[in-house]
Amino acid sequence: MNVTILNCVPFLYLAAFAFSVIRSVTGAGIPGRIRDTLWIGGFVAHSAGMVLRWAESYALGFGHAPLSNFYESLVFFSWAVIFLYLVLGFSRKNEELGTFTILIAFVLIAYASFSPYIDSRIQPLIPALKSNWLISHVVTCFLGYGAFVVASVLAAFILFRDRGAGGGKNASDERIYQCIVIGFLFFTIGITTGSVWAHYAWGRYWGWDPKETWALITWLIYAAILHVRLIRKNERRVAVMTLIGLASSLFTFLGVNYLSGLHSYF
Amino acid sequence: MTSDKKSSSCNQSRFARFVSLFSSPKTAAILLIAVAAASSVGTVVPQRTRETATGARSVWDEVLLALEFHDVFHSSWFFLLGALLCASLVLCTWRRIRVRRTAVKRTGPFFRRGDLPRLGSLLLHFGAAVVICGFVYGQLRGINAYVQIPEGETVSLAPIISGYQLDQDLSIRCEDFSVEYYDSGMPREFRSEVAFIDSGTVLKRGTLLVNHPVSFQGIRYYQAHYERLPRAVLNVDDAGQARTITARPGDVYHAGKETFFRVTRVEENFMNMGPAMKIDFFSPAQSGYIWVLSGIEDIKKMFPDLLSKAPQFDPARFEGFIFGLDRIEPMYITGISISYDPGLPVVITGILFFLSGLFVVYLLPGSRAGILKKSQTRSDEP
Repeated sequence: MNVTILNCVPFLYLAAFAFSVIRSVTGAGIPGRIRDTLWIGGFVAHSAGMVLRWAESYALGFGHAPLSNFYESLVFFSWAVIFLYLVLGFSRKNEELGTFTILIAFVLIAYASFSPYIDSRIQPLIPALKSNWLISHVVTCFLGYGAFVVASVLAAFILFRDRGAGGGKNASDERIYQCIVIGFLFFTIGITTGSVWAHYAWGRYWGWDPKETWALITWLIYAAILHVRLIRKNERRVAVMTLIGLASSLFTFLGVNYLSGLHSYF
Repeated sequence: MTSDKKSSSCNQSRFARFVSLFSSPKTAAILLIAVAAASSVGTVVPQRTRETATGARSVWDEVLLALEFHDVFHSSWFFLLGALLCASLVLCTWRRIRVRRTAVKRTGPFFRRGDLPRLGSLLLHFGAAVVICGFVYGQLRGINAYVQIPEGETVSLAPIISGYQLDQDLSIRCEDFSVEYYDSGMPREFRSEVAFIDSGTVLKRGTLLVNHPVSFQGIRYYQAHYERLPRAVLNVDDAGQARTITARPGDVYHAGKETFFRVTRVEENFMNMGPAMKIDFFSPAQSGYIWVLSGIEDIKKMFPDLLSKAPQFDPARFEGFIFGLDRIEPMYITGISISYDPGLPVVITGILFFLSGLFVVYLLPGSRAGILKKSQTRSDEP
């Protein structure tokens, strides 16, 4: 049941993206309203699907939060991107930001739903994942990733759209900074909770496991961005580094699976 | 005198310039990126110890070895980078305190409203330095070991914990091990019942579960791993003299001066013929092996000419002995991680400093970053 609902969500996001493009091209009001209905409806269905999945896992007899395998982490990543756009971007009615954020959320959940290599069944937890730290670690990390994604969309605007344009740059730079700070806060807590968990599960809080190391690399890149921004207002450099940070985040999330390590269940 | 004073003040200003350059955000950004780049090398080049890295090597391997790329996170240059980052953080903290003290001398009270973000930033950088120091201390003085204990057996901890505590005769026994499975066959939970023993006296008993370590005398023990280690119960008829032996792979039994046999494999289901064990036998007259099957009588009825075609299944193949496999007991060997980290309290303190600093700097209303309230101006001070 939950998978049926979650499988519908990508279509809603895709339709929202389409109407968003129509709205940008025509400037008409009705496509804009349809877009808002679609993506907010999609987000509600997305949230409901995850809650239902949680409830259904209890019905199967091994209840756990839907954050325990690759399918569930992709679905939550997609959710986190939309959630952070709601928190950080939507209030400012930045329509283009919305268009691209929805596109990214669509790609993530569509990949989870339709890739033949991703198993969407609810599985019981292996002993290593049976911990109260699972929820806090995964949620904070993915909220961090979500904020970094929104920051990267803004950075891409600075680099590719606003090239040569004069006005409005400052506001954009300020908003990237806010996204990065929020992401950095969440990601710092994510690494900390992960360390506490590793301390209880593996006997050390830090062991240079590939996923741990790449999380540190990502964290260091964003820490460097926060320092670069203090040197002088150099928004292009910050924007470039934000995109590098995104690449590092995605590698931390996905690429590390190709390097062997203890986090191999994600 | 005058020139002395002049040169000293000149030195001081040069020193001050060095401090401000070394603790500047620019240096910080460069060092952060350098540590990130170095760490990424450690995930791409296979990491191993120097011993396993020896053997057949190409020129390229030699280069990697010389650069310590085979063990980046314990290499001298990675340590140096960490030390530089730590020094930069300490200098940054120190400079902030000095600036603060000068400001206090000029304007009065040490703490005023609105100073909180600046103090938070100080706390944050100091905390990061403390974390690095605590981590390095733990790496240098801590223990990280792994032992495997077959069910029911005792392993001495002395070689692992020697030098860290007075209790030199400490050993650990795995009294029981059990695994529970989901219906799908996936392990649901595995646990070891362990006892800490000193010269025959049990000092503490505990249950080790994944995610639930046991602490004893400051050292923590973790359920890390397990393997099946089936044990065979076999009957040996030694020229009319029968005895029953419980054996695991590797066990050797002497039947005479130069006559002995060794259990080499114990299989719960060998080639779909049920429980089986392999025995290698040695005597001055004869040496070879036997596969002892517990269902040999039934199999012989199905294939009457089995023993002439495949003599390795003949329980009486070894002169003067008749082997019979009674049953196989599903036993386990438990893998336990042992850890002691004296740097841990330091690291925790540092993280608490860092996190509280981070929250003060970025989340307090009206803070410099202006996350909750849009900032109009930006302080020049990093």
